[in-house]
Amino acid sequence: MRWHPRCGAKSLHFVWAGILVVLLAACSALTGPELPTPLPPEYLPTAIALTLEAGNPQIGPEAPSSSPESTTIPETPIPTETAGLTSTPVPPTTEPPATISLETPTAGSTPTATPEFPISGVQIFKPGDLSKVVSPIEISAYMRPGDRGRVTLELFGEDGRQLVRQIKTFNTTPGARVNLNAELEFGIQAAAEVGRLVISAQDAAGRTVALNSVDLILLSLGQPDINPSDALWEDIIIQQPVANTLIQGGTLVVSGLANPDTDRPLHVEILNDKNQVVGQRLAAVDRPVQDGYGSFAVEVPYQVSGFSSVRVIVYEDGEQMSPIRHLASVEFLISP
Amino acid sequence: MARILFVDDDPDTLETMTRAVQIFGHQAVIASNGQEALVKAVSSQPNLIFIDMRLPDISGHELIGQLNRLEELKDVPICMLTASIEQEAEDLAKAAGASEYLNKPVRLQKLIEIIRLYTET
Repeated sequence: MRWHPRCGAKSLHFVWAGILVVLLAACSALTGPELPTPLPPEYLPTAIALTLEAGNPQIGPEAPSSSPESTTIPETPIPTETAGLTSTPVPPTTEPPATISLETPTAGSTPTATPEFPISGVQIFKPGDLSKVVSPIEISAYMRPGDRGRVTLELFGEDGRQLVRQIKTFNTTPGARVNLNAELEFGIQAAAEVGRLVISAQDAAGRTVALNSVDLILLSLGQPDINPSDALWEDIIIQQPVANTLIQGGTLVVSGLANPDTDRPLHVEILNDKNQVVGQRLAAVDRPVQDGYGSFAVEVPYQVSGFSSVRVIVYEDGEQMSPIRHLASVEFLISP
Repeated sequence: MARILFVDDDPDTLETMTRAVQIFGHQAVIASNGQEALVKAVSSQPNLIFIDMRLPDISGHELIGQLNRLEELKDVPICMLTASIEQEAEDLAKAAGASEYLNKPVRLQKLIEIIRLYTET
């Protein structure tokens, strides 16, 4: 059969008309009132809002507080080793086996945690505060020695006189902590008096890097009575400036947390590499926020002629008994 | 002499606690996560356990539950350590089965008091 142009065109018109009718019928069916929708139309704005909130939980008033635990617990159970470690076989019981349960904590079940407190630059383990000691005092500490591995031990009497000063040297790699076990001999005229043991480390410029102290009751005779130490955690935590950063502009912001023994302000000093003060201020410690720790912040103007390596020291003065009671420091760079 | 298990993921804290209790004649056993704590608790049979609330693999509360379910450890007193100051933290620790609760930074005086209370009876 031969193809006739006129008959072919007529047939095509019929085909196109048929397709159009089918498509229109389908569109009509889609817009019909009986089509099931997932959400009622009036609820759609709420659904959109909830979806946005889920994508950004911080902005919602009902957003659950996330806890560190909730993000660290793995999804899959960890096999426990306890079953094989029991000394006697355990008969089968209806109790569930002793395995680590990795259930996700419910929102709000874990209290907000605060940052860990750093250990002191000079941890004095023995003797503890207000221990009764006789000569020689047995000292146990853990610390980073200063320049050339040196550590300074000093004992002051109640009127501030220095009873003993001893330097110990450790052959260790720079930055490593060492166990300090020493005996410090002293002599006093009275039967007893209050004293202060101060342990510190200095850098190559003679600047004190870290210092800690404990108050003691010095006895000329008798039996020692050693208390547990409280000189283990950093009493002055410098949060700003950060070590080994560069500060410019002539003013330095020094801030952190402190747990001073008195309500006197802290001393903040910027020392250059010749151990000269290039800036200093006093910083008050705010009301304690946690276990005796309060915050402090101060702007310290400084004067340097050029790019310098400096150390900021923050310390609590020792009043009449010793120049310094607690000290922390950070080394960094400044320029005008 | 008491044998004390410390569970904390901070190595400085573990080292400090170890040195501190050794000075007072006690033996320290340390674990840095919940899994290690279970193993060490069973093998060393401590007289007292200190557990940090925040551990990398399990919460301190859940670890207390696990330890209390072990027959040989169910009577061992447990002290929860936390840097949180909220009352809720103490309530949760007690509800989980902790006998004592200590804030960080741990004051050695208080730590020794707790050790004496539970081990020198």
